[in-house]
Amino acid sequence: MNTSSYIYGESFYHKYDIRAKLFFTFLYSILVFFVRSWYGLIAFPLIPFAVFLVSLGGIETWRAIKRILPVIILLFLFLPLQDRGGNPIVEINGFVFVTGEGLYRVCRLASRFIALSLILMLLIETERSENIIRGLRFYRMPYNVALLFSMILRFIPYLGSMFDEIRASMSLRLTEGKRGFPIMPSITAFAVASVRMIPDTAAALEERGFGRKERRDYKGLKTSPKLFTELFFSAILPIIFFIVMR
Amino acid sequence: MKEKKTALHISLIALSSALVAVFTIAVRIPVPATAGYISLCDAAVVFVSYAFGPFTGLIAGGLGSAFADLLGGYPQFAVISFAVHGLEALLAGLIVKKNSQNILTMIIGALVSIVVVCGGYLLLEVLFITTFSSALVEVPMNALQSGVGSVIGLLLYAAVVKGYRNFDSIKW
Repeated sequence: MNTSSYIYGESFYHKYDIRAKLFFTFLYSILVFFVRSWYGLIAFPLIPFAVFLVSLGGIETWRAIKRILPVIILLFLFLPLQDRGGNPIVEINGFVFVTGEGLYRVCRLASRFIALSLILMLLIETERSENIIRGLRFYRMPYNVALLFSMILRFIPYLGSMFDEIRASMSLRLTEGKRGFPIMPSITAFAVASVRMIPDTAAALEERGFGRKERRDYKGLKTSPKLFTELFFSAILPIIFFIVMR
Repeated sequence: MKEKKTALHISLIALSSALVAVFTIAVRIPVPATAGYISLCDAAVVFVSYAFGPFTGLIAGGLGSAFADLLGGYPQFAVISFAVHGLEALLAGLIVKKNSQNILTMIIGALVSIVVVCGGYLLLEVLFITTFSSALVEVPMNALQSGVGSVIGLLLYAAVVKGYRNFDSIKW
């Protein structure tokens, strides 16, 4: 079971400070909704695509594209149903297949979908999840929320391996020659084992001093002049790009 | 005392969210037509909202499915999943909360889950991601997933209540 999407790398985007990366992702995701020109519709998905290619390589880029490709194909397949009253571009025997307005609308949606998907995948595939939480703490995410997110990220792989063990042991109970695993007994045993952990985890939190007034983060993010430079570029580049391409 | 309760709430939500995420990631049937997948997500969401109440269901159902999308390579759907499955858990939990032994309310809760999942994904995808006609393709698969998931969630809830005696002590 895959419980992490981080891919190790030494690229510039891997080394980019998480606070600047979060700001860039957030800003880019908002700006992509306001692009209207044809140039913008082409250029906005191309930027994260190029960064993806440079940072993660061709195979990972293809994997990412493969995940979003069916939605794009579906969007264009249903193109004849879009804006039927618009200016006709493709017309066969009096039946309008594609209108200018319909084509523009679908291209805009496809561009937005590709740009959003790639920029978000780029964030979670080039940064460890604990660093993303530290970055969010920098933007004033409350302590309890950060703790909750860290615990969820810690428990997912643990419960995942527990589920695999339960599933494997339950599959041994099947009669010889049968494959798979009995779903209900497996998920019931798994759910009971997970629920049993709740009081123990709460007790452990108290033992570790949860609720103490003087809290200290286990690991913090360092602030250096590089951070301000990267934050500056994260803000200025998408805005200039948007003004030129919108 | 307040901090003690908060420790329990955080543990409850963290483990419930992880449970929802593991159910979503562990059993996954890809749907090539929509680039999505069918999972046991709804079974876990319904189970959590029946077992721990609507508020825990709202947060854990939403967060669990959003984390599953983030870790599973579908980050573009994370916010939509958070809203849809959070609302699904909230409504299912509110309907079943008052009379948890009544099978009729559980069936109504399951039907509401199907409506919320199908309608929610359709509405939010049309608003932010795709067109109405292409979002419509997903509706039968979403209905199947939430329908089967709701029934499994109900059965799971009944089985876990029997299997773990101290169940009532960890409610919100």
